[in-house]
This record gives sequence, C-alpha cells and structure tokens, in this order.
Amino acid sequence: MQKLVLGVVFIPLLGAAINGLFCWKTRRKAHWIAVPAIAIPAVLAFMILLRVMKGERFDHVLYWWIALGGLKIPVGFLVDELSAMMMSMVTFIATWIHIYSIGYMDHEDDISYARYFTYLNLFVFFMLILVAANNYLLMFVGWEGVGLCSYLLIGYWYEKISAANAGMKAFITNRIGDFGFTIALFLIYKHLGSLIFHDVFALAHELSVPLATLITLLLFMGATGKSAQIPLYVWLPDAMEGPTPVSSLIHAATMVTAGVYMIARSHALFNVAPFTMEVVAVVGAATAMFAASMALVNNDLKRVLAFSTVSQLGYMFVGVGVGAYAAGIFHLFTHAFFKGLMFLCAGSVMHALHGELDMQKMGGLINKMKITGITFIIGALAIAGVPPLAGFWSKDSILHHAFVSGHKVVWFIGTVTAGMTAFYMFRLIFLTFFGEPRDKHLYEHAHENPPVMTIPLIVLAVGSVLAGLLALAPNGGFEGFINRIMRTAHEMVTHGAEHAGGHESGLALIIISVAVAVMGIFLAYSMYIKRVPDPVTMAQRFRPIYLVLYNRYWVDELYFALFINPTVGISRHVLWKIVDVLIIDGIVNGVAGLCSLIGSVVRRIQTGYIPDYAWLVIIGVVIVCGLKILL
Amino acid sequence: MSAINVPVPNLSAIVPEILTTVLACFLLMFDLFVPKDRKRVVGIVALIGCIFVGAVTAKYINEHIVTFSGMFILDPFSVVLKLLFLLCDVVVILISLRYLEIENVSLGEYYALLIFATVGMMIMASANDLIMVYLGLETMALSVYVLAGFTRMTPKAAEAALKYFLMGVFISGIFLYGIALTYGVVGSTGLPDVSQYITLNGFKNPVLGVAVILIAAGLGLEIAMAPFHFWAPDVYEGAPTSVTAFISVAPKVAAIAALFRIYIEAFNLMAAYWQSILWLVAALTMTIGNVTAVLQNNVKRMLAYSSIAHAGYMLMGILAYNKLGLAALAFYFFAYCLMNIGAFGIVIYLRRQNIVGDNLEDFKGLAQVHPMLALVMVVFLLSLTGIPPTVGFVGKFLLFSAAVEAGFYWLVAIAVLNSVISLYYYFKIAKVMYMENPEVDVPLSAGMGLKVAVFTLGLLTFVLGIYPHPLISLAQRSISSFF
Repeated sequence: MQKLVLGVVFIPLLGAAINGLFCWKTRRKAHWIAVPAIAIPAVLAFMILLRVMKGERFDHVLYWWIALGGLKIPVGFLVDELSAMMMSMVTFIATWIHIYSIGYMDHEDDISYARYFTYLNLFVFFMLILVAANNYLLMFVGWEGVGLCSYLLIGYWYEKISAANAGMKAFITNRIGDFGFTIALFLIYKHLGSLIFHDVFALAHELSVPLATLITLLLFMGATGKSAQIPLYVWLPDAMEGPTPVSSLIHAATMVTAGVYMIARSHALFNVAPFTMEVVAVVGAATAMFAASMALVNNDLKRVLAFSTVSQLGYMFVGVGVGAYAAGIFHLFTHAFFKGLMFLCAGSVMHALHGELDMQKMGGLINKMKITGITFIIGALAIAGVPPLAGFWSKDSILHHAFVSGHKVVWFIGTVTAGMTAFYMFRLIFLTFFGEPRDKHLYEHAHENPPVMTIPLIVLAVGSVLAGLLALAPNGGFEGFINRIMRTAHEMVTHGAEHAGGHESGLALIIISVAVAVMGIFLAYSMYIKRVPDPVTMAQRFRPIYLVLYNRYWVDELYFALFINPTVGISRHVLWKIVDVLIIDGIVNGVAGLCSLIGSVVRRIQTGYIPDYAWLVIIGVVIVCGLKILL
Repeated sequence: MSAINVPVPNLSAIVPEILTTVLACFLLMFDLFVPKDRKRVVGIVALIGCIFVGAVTAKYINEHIVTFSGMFILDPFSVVLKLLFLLCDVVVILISLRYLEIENVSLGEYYALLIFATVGMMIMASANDLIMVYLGLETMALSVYVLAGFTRMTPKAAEAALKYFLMGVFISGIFLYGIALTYGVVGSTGLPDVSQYITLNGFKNPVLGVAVILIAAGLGLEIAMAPFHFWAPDVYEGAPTSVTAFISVAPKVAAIAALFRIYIEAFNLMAAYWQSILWLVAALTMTIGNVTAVLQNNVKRMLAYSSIAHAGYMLMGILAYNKLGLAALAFYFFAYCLMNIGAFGIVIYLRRQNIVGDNLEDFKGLAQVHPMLALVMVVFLLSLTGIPPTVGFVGKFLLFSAAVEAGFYWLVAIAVLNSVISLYYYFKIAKVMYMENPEVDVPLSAGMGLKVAVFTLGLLTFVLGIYPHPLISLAQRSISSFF
C-alpha cells in the first residue's frame, strides 16, 4: 500500500522535475513524459481504490517533518474512502486533460510547451498532496502549492496583461482565504495539541462550541478563497485568462473543489459547530444563486462556465453545510466530469474558431463540430439535472438533504437556481451550436478537432452519463461508500434510511426539480431559437436588472474601492510620501545633485535631516516611556 | 588594604574570539603583500580562515563556561550564533569576490573589516554583562559603518555610511544611558546581578522601567525595529549590495540575540512589562515594513523594508518567552540568513556593466535568460513570504506556533495578515521574471564563488524546508542552557 501511495503522489513530481530541468531537451516531446506521469498514478490510484473498497485503510507517517518539543508534524499520508476516491478522480480527469492538452497547445513554441506540461504535472502533485495528507499542515502545503501552480498557469500567456493580472488576483484573493485557514491551524494546534487528522478528530468533541465555531468559520474562510464562494469568488471568472484545459482541470474539476474536500475531511470539527454549518449552507446557497444570475446574461463562453462553476460549488457547500457531506462530495465527483467536459468542449470551440469566445458571434456550429456539439449537450443535460445523467443524482441528493434537514429556504433557492442553471446552459448551447451562424467568416473556418482532443471529450461524456449511476450501487451507493468514514452517527448516515422515511416527499422533490430543469431548457429554447420573447427586447425592458447582472453587481469595483485603494493609498501617501519621499528621498536626491561630496553631506546634516531621524527616535522613546509610566 | 584580587579568566572560553581577531589582523598584514589586481586571494584566505575558525568553534557546542568575572558566557546558544555569523561571513565573502572587482573596490581591508565586525558580534552573543554588550556592539558597528561606505566614490554609499554612523552614535548614547540607569538602580551591570536585584527588591522603581525601554531602543537600531528603522532603507540601498546582504542579516541577528539574552537573563521577572512593549513594537515593525515595501520598485529597497518586517517576526520569538519560541528564534536566524543573503546574492548576480541589478526592470524576463536563476529566486521569494515547502515557512510556522502557545493571538493574526501583504511585493519580482520579456541582452557573468553561494543557498532553503530536522535539532540544542 505504501508503495502505491508514494507512487501516486510522487510520480507527477518526477514528471514535473524531468520536464522542468530538461525543458530544452524534451521540448515538443514533453507530453511523452507528462502524460505517463499522470496516467501511471491514475492506474495506481484505481488499485488503491479497489483495495479500499475491500475495507483496507492506510495512515502512515513517512518521516517527522517538524518535530520540536510537543509540536510534532509528520509528512504522512492517509488513505481512506474519501482520499482514495479523490485521488482516483483527480488522476483520472487529469490524465484525459493532459492528453487533450497535446492537441490544444500545439500552437505553442517548444520551450513553453514543455513549461506548460511542467506546471500541469506539478499542479497534480500538489493536488495529490492536498487530498492524501494525513495532517492539516501537509494539507496546507498542497493547498498553497496548487495556488502557486494556478497562479503560474493563469498567467501562462503573460504577454496578455490581463492574464498576468488575473494570476496575481487569484493568488492574492486565495491568500486572504488562507489567512483564515492559517489562524485556524494555530488554534487547532493550541487547543488540541496536534494537527494530525486522526488526533484532531478524536479530540474534536472536547472543544467548546464557541471555539469550534471560531475554528470552523476560519477554516471555511479558507474554503471560500480556494473554492470561490462569496465574498472571495471574484478571482475565478478572471482566472479564465489561462489556457482552457487549465480552466477545466484546475478551475472546474479539482483545485476549486479543495474547500469542499477540506470541510468534508474536517466533518468531525464541523459537527461540533452547528452555527458554522448554517453559515456554510447559507453562503453556499447564496453563492449558487448569485453566480447563476450573473451567468444568465454573460456572452463570454468561458465566463459563463466559470460562473456556473462558482454556482455549482455553492451547491456542494449546501450539501456539506446541511450535514450531507457525502452528498456534497458526490456532487464534487460528478461535477468534475461534466464541468471538466464542458470546459474542454469550450476549448475545442475556441481552438476551432481561433480563440473566439463571444457567443454572439457563433451559432450553427453543430454542423461543423458534431462530436464537440453532442458531448457539450450531454454535459449541459448533466448539469441541468436531467435524469439519468450524472448531475441529476448528486444535485437531487443535495436538495433532498437540504429539504429533509429543515432548510426549506435553502432548498427553494437551490431549486430555483437549478432552473436558472438549465436556462443559461442551454442559452449557451443554442447560441453556440444552433441557429444561423452570426459570423460567417468564423463559421467558414470552423472545423472539428483531431482525435487527440475529441477522444477525451467522449471519455468524459461517457463519465458524465454514467457517474451518477454509482448512486445505485449496493451498500448505499457512492454516498454509502463515503459515509463509511463519517465518525459520528449523523442523522443522515445512509441515503436508504431516509428514503424509507420520506419516500413520497422524496419523489415529489425529484419531480419538482426535474420539472424546473425542463422549464429552464424550454425557456432557453423559446428565447434563443424561437425568439419569443426576444432576448434583446427583454434586455431593454429590464435594463436596470440586465445592467446589474451584466456588470456582475460591480463587486470587483467595490472591492477595489474598499480594499486595494486604501492599502495603496496608505502606502503611497502616508508611509511613502511623508516618511520616504519627504525625509529619505529628500536627502538622496539632494546629495546626488551636488559635486562636492563631503560638503553636500555636511550641508545636508546642517539643514537638519539627520536630526529629523533623531527627533523621531526621541519622540518614539519618550512616548513609549511616558505611556508605560503613566499607565 | 589588600591588593585588588584579579581572578585569572578562563581563556579557553574566548578561543573563537581570539582566533577571529588573529584572522582579521593577519588579513590586514597579508593584504600588504598581495598585488593590487589579485586582492581576490585575500578573500579566499579569509574564507578558509572562517571555515577553520568555524570548525574550532563547533567543538565548544556542549560547553558552558562563565568567565571574566561573570561578564562573558560561553554556552550552546552563543556557540550556535557564532557559527551562524561565520556562515554569514563565508557566504558574504563568496558573493563579494567578483562583485568588488566589478565595483572597482577590490581592497583587502574589506575582508578584514568583515571579520572584525564578526568579532564584535561574537562578543555580543556571549555577553553576560551590559557593558560587554555595548563593547561588542561598538566593535561591530564601527567596522560596519566603514563597510557601508566602502564604494566611497559613489555619493549614495558615502551618504549611507555617514547616515548610518550618525544614527549609530546617537542611538549608542541612548543605549549607554539605559545601562547607566540600570547601574544606578542595581549597582552592577551584570545580567545575573540585575536579575538578583529585581528578585530581592521587586521592580517598582520606574527608572528600571525606563532602562528596559532604552536598552531595547539602543539595540533597536541594528534590529531596525520601529521607530528606529528610518535609516535602514537608505543605508541598504546605498551600501554595496554584498555589504547590504551582510548588514541585513548578521548585525540584526546579533542585536536580537543580545536583546533576548538581556531580557531573559536580567529582566526575566519583568516579562509582562517588556512583553507589552515588544508586542506593540513587533506589530508596528512588521506592518510598517510590509506596507511600505508594497510600493518600492527598487529591489534592494524592497528587501530593506522586507528585512524590517522580518525583524518584527523575529521579535515574536522573544515575546513568546517559551521553549518553543526560543528554538523557533534560533531556527529563524538560520532560515533568514539563508533566504535573505540568497536574495541579495541574486541582485549581485544581475550586476553587469552599467546595470546595478537592483531595479525591478533588471529582473525582466529572467526566466527566459537564465531559468535556473529565476527558479532559485522564486525559492527565496517563497521562503521570504513563508510559503511551503521552504525553510522560511517552517521558521514562520514555528515562530507563530510559539506565539500562539504564549497566547498572543492578535499578534499572530497581524503577522499572518502581514504575510499576505508581503506576498504582493515579493511576487512583483516573480511576476516580472516570469511574465515579461527581457529588455537588455547584456549577458550575465557571475563568478564561481557567487554561483556556488547562490545555488547552495537556494538548495538549502528548499531542502531544509522539506527536511528541517538537522536545523531544528541544532536550534533545540542551542537553547538547552535556558530552559
């Protein structure tokens, strides 16, 4: 088992190292290193998963990383149902996205082609560290590592200013979330004396409720950064500046779901803090709706998908927030397939149209790109929640849990959002693939992509169809499998038990959500194919709402005014202008202009700048002394 | 009336100091016989000398000797610090060898001054008496003033040196005043005597309280803690880069170590009192350092503010006043030495004809010109920010854990928030290296020594981040005499 785990985690690192150090040797052949470096771990991870299914577990310390007195932090890996599933999912999706990238990145020059695969391998390595770690600090290493790779990959086409800035924005927003995460780690260590999952969860019930609430809220703050929830979601739409396979892997299937994984992993802590759970559920529901509303009017193919990701992540948080951790993880799992798929399809469209992303210029592409079109529709049906595709099972499970656990409002928001999801997804499909081509020139040049790109689409499309059926597997299906690690006997341990209780309401809920989804699809059809009601006149009639949505509620502008400007302002006007420019630069500039060196320095001193320093020192000392004596 | 009885000091306790002094004097004389264009030889001799002294010093790691009438103490903590100073010397000499030739100031006394400064710092590390601290401080400071103005033909350097000197003289007056006040109250300047006095008489005397503040202020100049940091950015920018690398690390560490020993050994009963002051100072120092650094476009200046911020982090180790905190502090000394000198080493690496290498523009497209160098710089930057898996992360984690253990939650929150801010300016450099195209095509021409130093430091920063055990056990051993 240990060999398998080490293989899964470190082979991607090896791949990254080879391509990174010898990029001028591997060049065009970089994928011959990079793809096996993910494919082999995928096979190994599947072997691990099979063993875990038989009931095997693994929690092993590789070596003691930081050991000082009572502070003992290992580099060690934990394999149980949750991490084994995550490892398999991450490596499986990553393998196909790597293969897809071979085709997608073929316009790159040699060195940056190798650079791309280096970053991608490195990302997978950190992601595996994140999910396989057996303590919070090592998890944090992965957590920061994926953030770093995401930064590098978003800014991959750095010639575009917007790309470089988007990378920076993502990194910094994430660090704000990490601030909470870090503080939570220190609090856990201080009060439970360990950061190893096993110890922390065993002792979690000893925490007082307020303290547990504080810790979990801080952890959740980290999750909102990484998983793009309100109020830290702003980076994800901008992150679309990166290459599309990156958006698919990092910003849809894997990294952004890390927050959900972390909360599911920490369920023992969250169970002690009911208030935090409510916060998680409410923030999740609010984000789901908020992001979906912005997706309704956006015309950028990838941005719509990005808002959709934010929205779907909201669903996952609703799941974990109402205590249905397994349902949240199930949605994470199915979402990885269909959202990963849709991003790859969007990439395929972009590739065919030379980077065009504006849906208003597309149309009728289904005639030119059969495979891309059909797989995209499968993905859209899956996310809309049409049975029996993947999204139906997991989304329905989340909504069902929300309903039966008494979160009626959350359930209502979730259901409405499901309708919005179906609408904007099919608006995207109809605008892109159906109707008359609106830009003839683009349409003429469109073509289906080579098999190296379409085969991954087909594989993920099959996954999007079938992944949901795992819910029907024996022993409670997917959720029953994940629930095996849930420590406390929560009210909803197995799916089956509830269904026995509320079968009628369960069926009613299913019918409602399917109906809502079908209505959303139908509305999109009537608006964008039949043109009744015509979207343009709609936009004009409801112009204020349209503008608010189109400008994304001006949240970016608000953040800029609230946080960025004041910080820069303090730095520039107070600290820099007064202290530096006035006092320090005053001297520097003065001196540089004078020919007689000694004379100038002496003169400067006599005009009283050094005494300024001295005065500052004296004032500082006197103030401190005075305060201490008086108080 | 009997003659004053002078006890014979135990000279074996000061063997490292003696050897270092001999080395410095030897270098001065040796310099006379080296022709002007071969001054590099002096540096190499200094290098070998430092390694030799280090090997001898390392043997004392388990000793515990108090001598010179209790004024001088040799304990594991001081030995570890001495080793650190010698390590700094070795690295700084390596990065200086060729740099001085480019700057056209290849003079032998550079190395001698470096070693003389080291003697001063060694004395500070071992001082068990306030006067002894002062003696060490001045020995070090006088050498460093000269070093700061070593490229004396450039106005900036001369100005830096003079400014440093004037501030230094001024602050050393404050420091002496603090010592005098302590002496006035206690009747002695020995650290154990002060502690004993406080045990017997309490610390109600406000004069003692003022003395505690003045002593911190006196050492605060070298630490560059707020509000005594004003000189630092100026001096760091003006001084030759290799000297900046040195003064941003070694004297700072020496002063923090001295402050730590004074507070722990002499004023231990007043812990609550000085903690409340240091709390404020630490928070202020790291915040001012980081926030001001955000706007800098000169890398040397940016690193100057960053080193102010790091001083703030290190003060947390003293503040925590527990075993973990002290070990963390010792650990951080090394971590800081590796990553900070490393970052300055890269600036030197970029020094070419007509290019100082300290402008943000000089880093443009480094990832294309020299991918390895850019990678190493990223390692240093990650480490300075405190992102895993680097030695800076482990160090920060230990420091912050210690502060949490001592109950300084708000300070840790401020510190973590500061780390977030620091990311912004450190990654400005990374962004320029990776996300812009090179502008000038003057090839890089680093000497062998610089190459070895920079890449070794980069490797250590990374490896000790993954496997910090050797450094942790060294840190643990160094504090064995305190708890």
